[in-house]
Amino acid sequence: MSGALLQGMLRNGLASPYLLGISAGSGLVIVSFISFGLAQIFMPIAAWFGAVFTTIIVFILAKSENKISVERLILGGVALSSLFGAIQATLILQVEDGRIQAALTWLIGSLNARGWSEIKITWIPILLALLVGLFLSKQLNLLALGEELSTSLGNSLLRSRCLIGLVATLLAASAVSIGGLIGFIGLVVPHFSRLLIGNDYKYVLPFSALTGGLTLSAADLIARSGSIEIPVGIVTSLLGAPIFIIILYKRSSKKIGMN
Amino acid sequence: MDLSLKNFSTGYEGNTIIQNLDLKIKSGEWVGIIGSNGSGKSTLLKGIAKIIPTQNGEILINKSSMKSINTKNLAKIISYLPQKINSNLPITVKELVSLGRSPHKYFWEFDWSKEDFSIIKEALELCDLKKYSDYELTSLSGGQCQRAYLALTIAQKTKIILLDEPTTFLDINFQLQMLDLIKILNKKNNLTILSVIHDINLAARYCDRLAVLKEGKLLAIDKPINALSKKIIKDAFSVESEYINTSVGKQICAIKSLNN
Repeated sequence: MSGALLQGMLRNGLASPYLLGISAGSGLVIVSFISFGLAQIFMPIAAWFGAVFTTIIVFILAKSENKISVERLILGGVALSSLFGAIQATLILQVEDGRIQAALTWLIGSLNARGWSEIKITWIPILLALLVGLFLSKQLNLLALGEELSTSLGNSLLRSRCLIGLVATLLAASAVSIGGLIGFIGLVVPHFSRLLIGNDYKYVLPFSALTGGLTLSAADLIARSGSIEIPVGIVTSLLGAPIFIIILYKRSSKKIGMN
Repeated sequence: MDLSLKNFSTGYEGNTIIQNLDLKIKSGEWVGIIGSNGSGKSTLLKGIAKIIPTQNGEILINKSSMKSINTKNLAKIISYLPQKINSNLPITVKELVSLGRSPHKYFWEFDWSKEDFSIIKEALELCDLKKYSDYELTSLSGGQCQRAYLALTIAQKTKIILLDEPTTFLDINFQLQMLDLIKILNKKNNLTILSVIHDINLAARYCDRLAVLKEGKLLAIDKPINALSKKIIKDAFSVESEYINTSVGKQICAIKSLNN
């Protein structure tokens, strides 16, 4: 759902929750925690704050006069991600071998030993964001018309983009704080949803939320069914990439473009 | 609704294009904006629709200032159809037109009411799109697509409509059909219309008055016959022109450019 929100807002099918710096922010925080050996129990909360703060910085960078510029959002996100990525890599190179393993597992994303206790705090922002997110379909449908027409239909660009960004970030940050940086779900699932049920965000949003959860559970099942459990992030990326390519080919043969 | 501009300036960041413009449009009037490329025609419309910020002066509707109105409430009074429309959207005509109802909906309202549906249906019928209502936009011709966007604007049910070159990409037959349709709306629903029209002869035929813009300033605003004097045409477009008499009235023919 976070991916669907962002793809609609940025009018770009390549957008995923990680584009706006969510991965960079939480990744850096986690790697710092692991490399300095800080308290492990606070890691999820710290990752959550890292993700949210980074996205806020990206939004502040993108704000100009009275609107949020899409180009600046994307460029800001990319720039910040590469900056944080560099610091993160430096940190990883400094730490001892055992901790590298832990950091990498988190960066790939894993649901190993995650249970109800992890949901105890994060269910509040997740539920809240899911609820608000469902009501954002009108704004997303309007944004698809382009900035000018969308504004003249009463949709303030500043307000709607901030709100959509906030909801998408809350969702992604909460997911990341539990499972780590599980790849490709946020990118592929919205495309899959649109292919199946069309482009009205009234249906795309809830459908993406459900399909996203199902896909992750399925991937986790596969991850656990071997003789050793592999991180679920590897499964999603391994299977997600070819599926994504197939979807893109189907879409282009039907000549349905986002823009 | 009356629309008037007082000492109105607008433009883009750090660049004022429309300067201290005064303009009064009466309720139910159709005013055409003409002028050379870069004279500020589109900027003026965007300024009134508050897509770009007001830099100076104010917009008055029925004598009340639009200074502090929010985007959504303004969208219930003024609709604006930009020149560049997206004919490549993967949605149906009906879905597009129904978006015209959005300014009338609260944040938590998901579905259109019976009233919304009848307004959407009416807009589709007016624009002769009823049988295309389930077609995807991508499968329509240029003329149908332009009409679909006009239907969206109609469904918004505003008393003031701003149109930026509603006939740009249409052939001459569709141009006339489109303008006839706008005229019907204008008369039947007593809508106030301000539109940029590139073709000055068509503008003169359909509009009640013409506003001639040059470098962001109003050169003239008058009945078409007076606004299109040879002198004003020369001032506004730097061309020498002549009149031709036709069954639909005097037409202007540009004879030669006065640049260089």
